[in-house]
Amino acid sequence: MTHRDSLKNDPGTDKAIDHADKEAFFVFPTSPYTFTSLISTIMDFLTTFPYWGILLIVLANALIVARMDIRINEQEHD
Amino acid sequence: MTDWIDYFQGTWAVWLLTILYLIFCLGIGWWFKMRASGGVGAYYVAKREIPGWVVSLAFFSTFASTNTYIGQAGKAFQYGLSWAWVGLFWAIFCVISWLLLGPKMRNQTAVLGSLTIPDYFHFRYQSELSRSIRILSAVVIIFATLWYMVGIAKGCAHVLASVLDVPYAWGALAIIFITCTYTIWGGMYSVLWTDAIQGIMMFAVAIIMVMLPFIYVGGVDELMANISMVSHPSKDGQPIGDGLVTFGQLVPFLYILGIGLAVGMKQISEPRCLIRFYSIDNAKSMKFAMTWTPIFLGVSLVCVMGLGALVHGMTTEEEAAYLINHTDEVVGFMLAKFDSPLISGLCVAGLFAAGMSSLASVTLIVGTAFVRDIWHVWRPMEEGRMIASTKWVMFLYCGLVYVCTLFPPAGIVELTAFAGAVFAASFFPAIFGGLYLRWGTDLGAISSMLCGMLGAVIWRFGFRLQFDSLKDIHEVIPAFCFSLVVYLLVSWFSQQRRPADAHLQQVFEHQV
Repeated sequence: MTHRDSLKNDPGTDKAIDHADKEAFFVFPTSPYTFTSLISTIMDFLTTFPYWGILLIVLANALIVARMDIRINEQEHD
Repeated sequence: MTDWIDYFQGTWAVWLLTILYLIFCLGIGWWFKMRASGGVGAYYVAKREIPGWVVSLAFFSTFASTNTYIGQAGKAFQYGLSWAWVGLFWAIFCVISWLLLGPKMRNQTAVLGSLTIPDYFHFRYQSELSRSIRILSAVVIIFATLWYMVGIAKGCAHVLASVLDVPYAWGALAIIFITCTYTIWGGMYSVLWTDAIQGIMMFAVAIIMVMLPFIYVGGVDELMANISMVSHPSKDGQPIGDGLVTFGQLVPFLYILGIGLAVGMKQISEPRCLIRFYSIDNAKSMKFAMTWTPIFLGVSLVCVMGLGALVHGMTTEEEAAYLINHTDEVVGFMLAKFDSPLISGLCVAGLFAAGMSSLASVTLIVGTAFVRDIWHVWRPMEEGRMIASTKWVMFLYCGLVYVCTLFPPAGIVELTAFAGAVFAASFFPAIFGGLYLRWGTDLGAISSMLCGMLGAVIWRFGFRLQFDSLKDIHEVIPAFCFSLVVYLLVSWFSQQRRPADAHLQQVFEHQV
């Protein structure tokens, strides 16, 4: 169960929770509180997907273009 | 007097950067004035001699407008970080546009001597009927572009009003006619070069903007913790909870898909984007643009599309309750809350850049469509007169845009999105078929165009707005599929209308 799941299941947090409670809740007792662990814990896979998906697509595109043989007719200037 | 001093103390950086930027744009227009007057080919497509990096940045800045930087960024305030899915679809269509259309379009249009998208239809399908396609597509461009320009001018005028207290009417006047002036002076040269500079500014501003919420709150971890569970009300009044970081909780995926396709497909169908391919000078430039345009757009979208969700970390509950119903004000709110004149100045200049780059491109498109594809077809004219007429048409059209901006019709954003759907559904099959299918015919092209338009109108008004269960299925999806199928079927069954083999041989000889 992720932090977010446990947060959702807590009946006391279905409405507003104040800032202090939130901060206390998000302290990881056993592992370093890093950017990547935080993102992956808080955001579900489908929410994070477009962010790294865009970067993956532009990278794949760059590789495809690098292998393409492009020919442009330069004599046809108007 | 003290009021003025206070005013300028708070806004000097914004004024300085904005004025410098506007003078710079006008300077570029003036610089290219002589070169652009060297014939219709120079004025309309910059003699196909523009470097790849300029075209690449120009494509990016033309596609991403204030709608992206203000409207879509603000939408994430309402829909959460999942809204970036829209950006993913846009990035995919950017790649498709450059991979599938870019090189082929550059080669075919050069061979055909095409200078506009409507005249491409005419020259490629080569018949009396294709002359009608040319006129019809020019009419669609002129009508649909009006609402797009009004929407952008309105957005920029609101930014001027909210940041600098410039009256709305004066702000709109300045934005429209400064853009019009440099476009008239330098034609496609000034459009492309100013777009490139604007693209650099927009890229930088996207990166700056996404950093502001993190800096304001005190770090990545702190902000992410803040927005992971918020008590701010959603659009329907319920607390958002973990909706900002949960997929599809605040917005149905079908709606995301509709907006992603409707706007993203503009890159494969709208003349303001496609005309960029005409001007690239050589294969090396083409390769550069094919690689880097998706990178410029993709990185900017990663920064911008989820921005509104991050702004929740900067807001109080009362502020959030207001902003959730006024998402267009989210970016302005963020800048005001950050309270740095220099950052505000940079971002406002970047937002103008986003608006003006799109305005300039479509202004030229309208001028060329009206003069070359309607007037010149109806009553042929000399080259010199064609350029002068294009300038006059652009000026008069900008006047019309200004009047409409003063009295904008209700639902202008929806109208603009609808126009995008009409473009995608009616233009793409004829363009794609023209580039790839030797057996594509003029009858197939005009049938798909008419069916695309009708399909978009019928789905929107006959189904989407009538049945609640269909409201999230954007008209672009059925209309696009319908027009594509019509193009293929009608072309297949009207093979006797194929252009002559010699013509097709010439068109397809420069295969990529």
